[in-house]
Amino acid sequence: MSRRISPAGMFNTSINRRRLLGSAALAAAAGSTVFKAPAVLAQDPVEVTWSSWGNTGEVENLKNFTDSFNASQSEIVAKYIPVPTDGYQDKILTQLNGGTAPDDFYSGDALIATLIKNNAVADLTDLLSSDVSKSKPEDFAGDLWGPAKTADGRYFGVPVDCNPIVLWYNRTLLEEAGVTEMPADTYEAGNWNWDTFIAVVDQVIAAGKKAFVSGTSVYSWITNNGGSIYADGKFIANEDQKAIEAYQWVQDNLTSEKFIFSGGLPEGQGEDAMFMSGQLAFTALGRWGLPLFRQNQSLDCDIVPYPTNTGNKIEPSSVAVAYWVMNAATDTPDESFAFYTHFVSPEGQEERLNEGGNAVPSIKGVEEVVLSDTLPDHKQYFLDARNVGYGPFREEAGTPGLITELDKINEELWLNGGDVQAALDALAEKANTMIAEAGNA
Amino acid sequence: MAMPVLGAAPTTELSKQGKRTVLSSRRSRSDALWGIFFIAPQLLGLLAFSLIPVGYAFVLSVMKWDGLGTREFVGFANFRTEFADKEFRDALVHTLYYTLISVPGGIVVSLLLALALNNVRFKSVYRVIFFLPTITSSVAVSMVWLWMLNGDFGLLNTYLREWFNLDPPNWLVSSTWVIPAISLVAIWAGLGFNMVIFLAGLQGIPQTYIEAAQIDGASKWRQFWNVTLPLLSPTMFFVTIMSIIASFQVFDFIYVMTGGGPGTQSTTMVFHIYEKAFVSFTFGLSAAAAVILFFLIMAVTLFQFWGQRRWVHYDS
Amino acid sequence: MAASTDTFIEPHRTGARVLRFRRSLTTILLHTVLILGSATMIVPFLWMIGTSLKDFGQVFLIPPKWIPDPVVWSNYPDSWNALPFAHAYWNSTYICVIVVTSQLLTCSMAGYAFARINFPFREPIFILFLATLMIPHQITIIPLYLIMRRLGWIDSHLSLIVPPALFSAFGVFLLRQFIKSLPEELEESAILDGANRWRIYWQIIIPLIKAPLAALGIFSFLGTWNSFFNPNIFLSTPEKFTIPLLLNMFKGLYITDWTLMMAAASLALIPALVIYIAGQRYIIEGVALTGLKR
Repeated sequence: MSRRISPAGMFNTSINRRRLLGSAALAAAAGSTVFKAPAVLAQDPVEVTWSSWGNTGEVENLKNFTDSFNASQSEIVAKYIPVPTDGYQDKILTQLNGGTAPDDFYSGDALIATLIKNNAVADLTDLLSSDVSKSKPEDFAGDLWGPAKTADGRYFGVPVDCNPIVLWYNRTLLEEAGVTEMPADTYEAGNWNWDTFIAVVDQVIAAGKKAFVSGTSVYSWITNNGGSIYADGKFIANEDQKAIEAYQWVQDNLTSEKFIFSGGLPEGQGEDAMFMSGQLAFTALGRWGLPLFRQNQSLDCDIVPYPTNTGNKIEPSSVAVAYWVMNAATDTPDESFAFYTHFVSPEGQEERLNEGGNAVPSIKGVEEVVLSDTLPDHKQYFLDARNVGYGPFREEAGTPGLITELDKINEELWLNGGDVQAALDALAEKANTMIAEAGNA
Repeated sequence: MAMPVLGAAPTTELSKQGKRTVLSSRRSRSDALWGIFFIAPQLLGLLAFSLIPVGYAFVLSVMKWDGLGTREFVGFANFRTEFADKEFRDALVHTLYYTLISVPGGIVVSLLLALALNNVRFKSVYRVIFFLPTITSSVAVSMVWLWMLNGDFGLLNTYLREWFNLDPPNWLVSSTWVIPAISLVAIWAGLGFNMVIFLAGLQGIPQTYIEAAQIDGASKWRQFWNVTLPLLSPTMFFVTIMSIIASFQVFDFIYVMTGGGPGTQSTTMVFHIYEKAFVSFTFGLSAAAAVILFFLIMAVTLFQFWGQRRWVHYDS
Repeated sequence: MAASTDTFIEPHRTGARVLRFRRSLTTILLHTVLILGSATMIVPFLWMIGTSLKDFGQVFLIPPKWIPDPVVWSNYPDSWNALPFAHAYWNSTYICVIVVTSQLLTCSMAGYAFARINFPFREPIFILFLATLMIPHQITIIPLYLIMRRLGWIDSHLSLIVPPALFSAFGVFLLRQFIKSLPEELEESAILDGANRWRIYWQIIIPLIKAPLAALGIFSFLGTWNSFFNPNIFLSTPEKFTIPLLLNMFKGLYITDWTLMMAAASLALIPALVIYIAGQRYIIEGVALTGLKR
């Protein structure tokens, strides 16, 4: 039904190998050969284009990464094309249509399913396990595959890195509110659960500050209560007692104004700003807050995993993942894959995330990146959360438009109140219908 | 009131009648050529860069396409689906509601502004100030307003609580207030734009007509209503049509400020079109919605063109 | 007979004081309204400029802090250096200059034709022009991209210059309206004198439409200066980016560099402001209507 997008088939011009006259930089810096030469050696360096989104700091970092890759070997010249975050998906889709998409690129979890369905991204199952791969599937930590791995076990992308969601808290704020034991210590003692969490929340509110901003999707709370959302390809949270209980708990907290709903804030971009200004006690974020929080001298913060309600110290929580894919129509598959695998290899991730990195490696073996950082104090928790956490759900992220639809129903519930069971049933109906339509069970 | 006599008028009338048959046929032939010449560059641009993409939208509306794969002809199925889709119908309603607030509101306020700033002291300063919002990119404007209108920490509510002791709603997440709030932002952002056009229009009104009215003793209001307004009508016509076309296609504000929410309460037509294409990957449905929107705007515009005979005076 | 408060008419001797009082009352009222209005216009800008000078931790305080303390002037050079702004300013500027000049010319030509010249299919073609305004660009971007690709203009400024330079339904419509409202007698006499259409256009029409031309120039400049969507789709090399693209790059997936972004956005306002101030002079001073004696 769907055909391979082949540039040659669409228009006359195609992505030609661009022969670059060897730049001085390439020859000079012998240095470490960070990658293994591709099977077919081209005479002139082969250009591999790649794209990502990002803000200025992230882009700068990736540019440096690309430069150092180019300096370390002379067969491949990687060309980095940063794309403004807002227009990223529109641009990639347009480029794919025009046959000018980069060889390797980032893909959000919602986009990748469509890319897979249309054979726009390469099936990497074999390549990833081959000898030239420095990023074999089993090397990746946790369960982050989500929609990048199809139901029949084929890999079309890898997590480029990840961001386990933990609760950041403002130590100064808590102290001033009279909290004597910091959440991290409570956690270490094995007492970090919903009750102790709410106790701290109450104290913060009594001191006149905001405690916690709750998002549209509350899956982490469900799983921290021992519940599940998806099973066997279907949405089942509306039938899972623990899930229902978790939803009700969140709603109760919103009604009693212990939690605030983030609805009015632009995609969480306001929460970290609030947190930065010392207005908010807890915020659920990944490691991406670090570069920003670090800049703020007056902010004394730390992290703790989600509180559980099951009696266990830690339960699986949500991990934000973006995927790294390879263009199925690339002219230079060997070289593209060489850069691809280097990007997510242990060395690659270490280089990208070292020194001010804003994510957690998705591959095992480079935990030092997180641990060697001075901040936050309990950085180990990032890794703990990653190791037991889960990435996007294949059923959900793999069904185009589903997340947006579910968000709409959730938003209504959190904003206007209403019956939790009814909302969950509505979610189930929407989800299961769309999943079935997309043939994604 | 007496109209000033325009110098060449009488002779032209006579000449028209007398020389019409001689000049007309020669003129009409050369005019045809001149016409093509004058519109050639624009026509070229239209054909090369506009017609094909627009035509593509129509073609896509009868296809099923997810943005990357093959296109499959499905006839009018997309239209049927869209009309049956509650979200589409809601988007239509929201768009109309938004238009009803922002267009008349915007036009009236900017007209008053232009009139006021046509002859008041410090008008240059005011003109710059009122144009500031239009100069800034709509994304920056949206972000600024997003923060100003935030329910808990935004500027507006903070001061409403402090100074007036009110309990204001969370504007952008309230089903009742979200569209009025966005409309106000739109009026605010577009004021300068329409103001400038009206100012240009006011410049084109010969002082002689106004003076004549004053000599006749007409009040300021009558001067405005009977002289200024009719002479401003071509400009008004333009502003009305462009405002309606623009407001039917509002997108930037929605995208940045509400994402179509809460729920779908601020989803407008173009936002719906965008979502159906780039979020749900159902380009066929998106195109169908775009075509429906097109016919809607076209109908309204043609209606206005037909109606202009009644109220637009080009040359008194 | 209502008394006119216009300066043109000399006040009646008896009601002079009343008139002056009424006049100043109206003026005071007017200015009050205008000042309040200006306040609403300006407040977001004060916030923008204020934010651009703040330390990030102060951006979202409650109650809001208007005056930054300390004033972080370094945000401005920092924002400039964070991204290739020198290139972007050059790119944006020269693209704008070409597009605006070209639009002023081609739109006035077409506007004149639609307003005054009778040629076959004039009205349907005009409606066609307007029709193109009625399809949102989100749908037309993919085929437009394919056309650009066919022309080899991807990642080239030509994709941003040529289409708007050649085609602007907005501009054509605007000028058509203004030209249509000019008195026909002016042209009639010129035609009788034997002038051809080009001379009429160039020597009679153009001088008379300085105000709408200035308006079009302003809007055309703004539209091109602030354009994000098309440049985003067509350009890949950061050195070729235009200013809005760079502004957007302060926005990451999760974190936005608010202070730097506002600093950069404030800087980007300046050229637009300059153009506006320069352009609106033509709109104030208006036009001498030759042939119509005042």
